[in-house]
Amino acid sequence: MSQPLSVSRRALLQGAGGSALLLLIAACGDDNASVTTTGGTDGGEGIDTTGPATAEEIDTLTVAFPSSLSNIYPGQEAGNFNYYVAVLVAEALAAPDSTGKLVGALAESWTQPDATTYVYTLRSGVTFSDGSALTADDIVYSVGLAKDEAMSPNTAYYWANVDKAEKTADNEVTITLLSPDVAFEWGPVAANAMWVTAERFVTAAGGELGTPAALFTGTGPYKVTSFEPDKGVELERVDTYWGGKAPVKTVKIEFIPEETTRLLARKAGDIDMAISISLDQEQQWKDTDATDVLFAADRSYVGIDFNTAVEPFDDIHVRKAIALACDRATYVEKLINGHGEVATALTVPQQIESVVGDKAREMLAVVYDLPFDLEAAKAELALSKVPDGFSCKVGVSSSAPQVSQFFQALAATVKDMGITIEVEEMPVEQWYGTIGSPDWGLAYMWYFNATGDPAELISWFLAEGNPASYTSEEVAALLQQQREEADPALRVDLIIEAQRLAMEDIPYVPLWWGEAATAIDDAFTIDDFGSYTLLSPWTTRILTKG
Amino acid sequence: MARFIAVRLAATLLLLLALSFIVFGLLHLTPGDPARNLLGPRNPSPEALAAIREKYRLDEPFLRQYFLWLNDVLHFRFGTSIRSDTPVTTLLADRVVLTLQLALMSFVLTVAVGVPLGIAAAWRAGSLFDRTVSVSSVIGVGAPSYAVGLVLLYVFGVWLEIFPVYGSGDGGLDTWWHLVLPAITLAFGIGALAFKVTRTAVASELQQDYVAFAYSRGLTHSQVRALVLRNALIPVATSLGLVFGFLFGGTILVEVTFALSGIGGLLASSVTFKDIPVVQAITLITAAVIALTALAVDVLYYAVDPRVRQRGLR
Amino acid sequence: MKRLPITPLVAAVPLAVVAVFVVGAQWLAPDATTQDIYTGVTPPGTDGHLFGTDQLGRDIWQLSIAGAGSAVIGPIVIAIGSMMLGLLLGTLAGYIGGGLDLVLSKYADLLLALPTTLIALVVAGLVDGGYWVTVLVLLVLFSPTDIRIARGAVMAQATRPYIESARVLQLSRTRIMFRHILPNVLPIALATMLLNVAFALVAMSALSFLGFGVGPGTPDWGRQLSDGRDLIGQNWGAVVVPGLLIIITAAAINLMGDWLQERFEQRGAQR
Repeated sequence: MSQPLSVSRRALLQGAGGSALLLLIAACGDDNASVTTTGGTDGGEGIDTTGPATAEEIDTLTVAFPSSLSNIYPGQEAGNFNYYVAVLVAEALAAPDSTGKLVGALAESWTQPDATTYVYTLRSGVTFSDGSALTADDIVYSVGLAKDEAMSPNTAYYWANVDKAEKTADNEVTITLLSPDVAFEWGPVAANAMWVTAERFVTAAGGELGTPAALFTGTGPYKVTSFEPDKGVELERVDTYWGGKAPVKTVKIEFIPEETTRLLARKAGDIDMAISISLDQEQQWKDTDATDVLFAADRSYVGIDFNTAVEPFDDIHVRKAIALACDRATYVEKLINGHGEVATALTVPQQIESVVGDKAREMLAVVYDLPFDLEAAKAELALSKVPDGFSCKVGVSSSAPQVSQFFQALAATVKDMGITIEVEEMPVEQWYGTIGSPDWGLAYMWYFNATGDPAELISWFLAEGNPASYTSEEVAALLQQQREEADPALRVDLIIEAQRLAMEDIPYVPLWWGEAATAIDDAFTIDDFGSYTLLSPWTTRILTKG
Repeated sequence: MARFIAVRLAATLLLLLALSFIVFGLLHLTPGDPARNLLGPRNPSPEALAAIREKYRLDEPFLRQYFLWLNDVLHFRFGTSIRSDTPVTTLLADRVVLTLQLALMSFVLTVAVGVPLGIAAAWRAGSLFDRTVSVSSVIGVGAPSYAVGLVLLYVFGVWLEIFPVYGSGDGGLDTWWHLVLPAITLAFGIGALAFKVTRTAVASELQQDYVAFAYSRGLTHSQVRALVLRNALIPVATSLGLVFGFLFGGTILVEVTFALSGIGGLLASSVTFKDIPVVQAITLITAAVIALTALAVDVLYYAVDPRVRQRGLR
Repeated sequence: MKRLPITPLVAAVPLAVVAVFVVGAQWLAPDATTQDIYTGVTPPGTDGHLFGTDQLGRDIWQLSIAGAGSAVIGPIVIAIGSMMLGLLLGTLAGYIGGGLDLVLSKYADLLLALPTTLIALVVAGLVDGGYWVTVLVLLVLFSPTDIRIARGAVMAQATRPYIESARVLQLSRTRIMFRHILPNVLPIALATMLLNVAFALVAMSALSFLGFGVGPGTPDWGRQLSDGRDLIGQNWGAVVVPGLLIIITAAAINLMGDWLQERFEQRGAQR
């Protein structure tokens, strides 16, 4: 069944009822990053999809999403699936490449004369989907739009540190920050917090951006021709797109909230592609005729949050006892069917791979490595101020069944130690209220990184106002230092050191980094499919297999 | 008669008013804040909260909010959805039509299948046919519509490839075609109920003294049958009127299974989001449809039953 | 009307089985909520698990036995509660009449005009407390039918000679109501009650399926059906067993209710 799809600016976990929420891949040439393709009828493993693919014209591609959208402007509603549509229609100054490195989009290039000033040189010859030319004024207007709290409740936060954006030449826009922040570069990105449009389109829309009556107009490779909330979106290729003509002419996105219905729709040949299929139905998708299933890391982090200001979790022995009772390898194997890996840090490897390459996992391994050890857990609890155990509850979003199962499994494990954990399922919006709340000492986070910035999650989880109520002057100093560190490699070191230091106090327990599955008709292939694919104009990469 | 209808309409309006106040009150008294829900899980900044509260008038006191909303509704302004920033009328227009179509189609199926079967079964009460249909109807009442829907999808959508698997099509006939399987699913349980009501009504009519009397006066079998049917179908029609309202308000599981965008699924997600204008609009529309169907049934009852006509309606 | 007496027998078997499940769950299914995550999902016929296991390694069959309680107890509470509420208000309305009758009849009309499923969904979605909140809401929403039945029956009885004579004997109103009228209304109310149990069972499992029911870890058929949806390829037992239990139980209660109703109507007609 469908869940409301409205999430944080940074695309928190969102899901359709029975299914997980999920996405794409990590690849980046690392051995551990799994990009496997499994064939349909013959069910064999590892069928090669890298054969000669051609950019032959594809008339219509029908794609099924597992949850619906109620607004296609991500400033208003910012679930993962809102982004997948928005990146086809709108662009911003920069965009991630397939490895997560930022490259120019509407800006051809940019420079940083000082720590708080960014000067963007605009690409020439860019037009909106109606044929009119993009100007520097449109960029300035779009920054203001993303910053407006009433128009863009989901992105305004990101622009709080921006002092002003101004046109400094016909093809140049200068953005000034209040204080230095290296991560700012990820702000004007369509996968995160900016979608370039023009004032006239928004005025014509009467202020109701992204609704069926006021479709979003941008500069992207596709334009929305129709949008029906809870039903679907239809997109048409823009032939004048500056980046060239994509092979797929019409993209029909359909919302099918019930997983089994979606599978049957594929079996009946009604859909060509399904994004974020249920991992529990992996085998059935693979057994479907002419269907390939692609797996890839999805840059999601799942872990426990302890509110260290709430009893008994203010006691490190309690936190450590719970952490030692987590059999993380088994959760990965059983709860997410092995499609993911045990998390050793808050930062997922794909966030630093563009800087450190293959060493990502090795570097992150030092952050957190408590093993599963029940005896040690018991010993730890005995040292705490509640040696005989305690009772607590945990609120889990009904769109996260795997997390609910994890806490049920954990509850069964710690029962013998006298700890009672009661799992309460709730709508996703109610779950927001449990994060960092004094009423919920035990909580969790399922977080999808939207940007490729390595500090994305820690700039929330280790900064002031974090959900664990965790404070450490040393960590705060490191956090401030990385904000100003211009050298990417040194910055990654600081980011890892900050979380390593914080994790000695166990405010969080990283559980797993997730993986997602996409099913696609085996006549097609997705070029260079990776972790960042769906957050760039992904339909332009769909090719016909040779 | 006109007075009767006027009184009933006034009562319906009062009911809707009371209902709107109760739902509004529930939305306010229970924990959760739509402005916060819109901003996601992070600690929202006070400025952002204030901006959103002002935009959707959530900063006003409770009673004032209610009266502002009521005033708007009396002027046919249903407000804007907080979750999607879309006018409620835009959001609901197509969905209400789709849900009405679905309810209508399954109503027709219910009547077309349930009533004749009920008559036939009552006519041959105790026969193998009667018992077979009776027992199957009892199973129909209990079958979860999710399961029925998926079985139908598999058989008619994937295996036989007769009907589409999901969605509501491109409008017009295509939409009706897409609604066939959902309508059958929905009619499955209700049709069983219609069968039961009809069978009971006809069977008890058959026991009336006038039947034996009619036979003794030499009326033919088909003449008696017509007489019995005319009398039995009045209570059946009354119950069926209520069935329509029930169908209209009960589409949610079918909507989810067949990926239809009707009002049920929207209500479920709007309730948890606390999207006040949308929840209000959907509960009121549904209650109004049910109340008006009940009124129509009573008027019909008045028109067809001479006994009531003589006595006059309450 | 002719009806082979086989009907109540056919219905009684599954009902007895469900009753045994409810009462004896702790002996029949001692390991219903015992998890074994290392086992995970297994198909039917796995050693020691007739209908396999779910993701947490819980035995589907034991879980289903334990789920009988929440499947049946809530609906029974709803049906009995709404019957008592209905009988009380209906009898009062029918016997005392006048202004009270008008008010109560209007109240029943009001409730009847409400979309039951939608209201239950709205309230259960807003008010914490899941299962019992749903039970309470459905109890109230089910009561108008009972009010109408009781009111109608009382009015029919009130004109009968024996009540008249009781009045002449100057028996108190309450006494007449409870000693004479109520026993006559009870049979039809009981039959309605059984049918309400079946309706409530279907309604509650639907709400539970939609996530407005019991919490995780609590055995419940509607929840099992919802949790097991995506597992159908790995263990069909996870969906088929709770699904069939819902169908069979609802059908058996319905059959029993129908049979009782017909018997009482026949008795009434013979009098």
